[in-house]
Amino acid sequence: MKKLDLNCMIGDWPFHRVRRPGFGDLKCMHSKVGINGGLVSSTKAIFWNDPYEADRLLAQELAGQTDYLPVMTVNPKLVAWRDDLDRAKEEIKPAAVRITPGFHNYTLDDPEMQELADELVSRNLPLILTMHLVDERNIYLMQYNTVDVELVRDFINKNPKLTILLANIRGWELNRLEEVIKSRDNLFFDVSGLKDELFVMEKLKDKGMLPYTVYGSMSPLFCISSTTITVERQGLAQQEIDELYSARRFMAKL
Amino acid sequence: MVIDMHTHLWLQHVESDRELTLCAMDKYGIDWVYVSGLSVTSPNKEQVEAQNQSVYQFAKDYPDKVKGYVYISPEHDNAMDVLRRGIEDMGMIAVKLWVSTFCDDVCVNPIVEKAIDYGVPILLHSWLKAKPISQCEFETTGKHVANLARRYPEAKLIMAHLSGNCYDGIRAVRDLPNVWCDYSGSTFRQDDLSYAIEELGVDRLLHGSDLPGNYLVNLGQVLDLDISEEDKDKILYKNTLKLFDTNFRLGGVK
Repeated sequence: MKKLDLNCMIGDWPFHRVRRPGFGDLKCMHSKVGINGGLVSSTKAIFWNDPYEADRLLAQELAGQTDYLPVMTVNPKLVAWRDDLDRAKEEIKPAAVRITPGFHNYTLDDPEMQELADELVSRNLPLILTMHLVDERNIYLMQYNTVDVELVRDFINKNPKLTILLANIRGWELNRLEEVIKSRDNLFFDVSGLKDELFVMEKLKDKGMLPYTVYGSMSPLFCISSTTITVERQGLAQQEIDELYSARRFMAKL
Repeated sequence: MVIDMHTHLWLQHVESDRELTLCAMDKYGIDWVYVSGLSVTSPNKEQVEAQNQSVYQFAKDYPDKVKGYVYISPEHDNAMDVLRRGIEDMGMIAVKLWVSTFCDDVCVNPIVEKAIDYGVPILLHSWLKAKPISQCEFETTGKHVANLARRYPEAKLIMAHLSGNCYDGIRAVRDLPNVWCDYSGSTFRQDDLSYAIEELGVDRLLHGSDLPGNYLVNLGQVLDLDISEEDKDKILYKNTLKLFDTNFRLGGVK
């Protein structure tokens, strides 16, 4: 049975030591909890001036893997990002594209962001929209911006054909976007940010949100067990848990 | 056994907090919760009384599951009386200080001296927040805890939340053996506890969650640790049992 982590990363973090940064570490941690595949991004690609350098290394690291697929990080404010997508077709073969607007100092209503969205639709690439990385209360060594929930709503509405995974979304943000998420079959969110509420999975089930929920760990920034036990120990039926981990509906969009 | 030494009843919703806490204990195998009452950042005397009464009642209703902290606002002129009644009349097992004063304010001194007499620990909220997230006006951080610890080497002090940003808080108290830390709260970075163990040792870590906010994210941090089961038990309950034993006294460190 496929048990996938759709929001995981490899690499160091510039602000603290990451003890398990490698792909081997990720697979080892995954195997302990029965996860056997996923979509993998590079932490280096967030901070390097040319993210493509980091994504190339990511692709080399994942070469030959069939269960772990690379996710390319794109900053639409950088020059030649379209060229990156072109050469990535052969060199990286990304399963999706991740953006980190909070760390790259742009907003979802920037014209370049719309250009990227149009390009992803034409290339049939899903977008992983990073709502948060580490807790913002701990980001004291750099400037960052929070991702505006209303701009997320507007962006979603402007791009009906784009498959979007909202990564590390918080519970209160999910509440605000619940109706728009349920309005389409190509919108998803992962569980890694749902940390501020007890029994959150039961609430998602009651609201009919499980079909839009996928498993994501935000490893190596967050603990894998924190999210696996959130999924597995909150009263969901085994079939519901299996369906969530399989991410069947999202993977069908790839 | 599992003891969650950092949980709350919020005055605004005591009944639902009780229910959530008991449900979580049942669902997740938590044997004991140590509870403090909170309301607003600077409660008046009536609010402090109500907070402590709610905890007293909870512990009285569930004597085999719940123990209480007496919450103190040290700047109140009746603070010593609140402390005496909490420990001697209500059977509370420790003191809770939150954000009405810095923990090293001089008005805290008599409370600490009396807590030393009683042999009870003091749980100190501590959290350093990066800008632009607002620090509360009198919100303790690691340096305040360190000041207090040096002033009173016989005091049993608990720096809560790893001080939010563990890389600040733990640095401040690393060499102060009368400061323990809990990791309650929602930041749950993968490397926080490994760093804490390397810097403090496993004997100074206490299992706490900030229930009823969440629980599983913090439990997951312990499950992901690469340490022995014996050391995990120390964190999950043995360290707490030892620290909260009133016969466990510190001789003072020069």
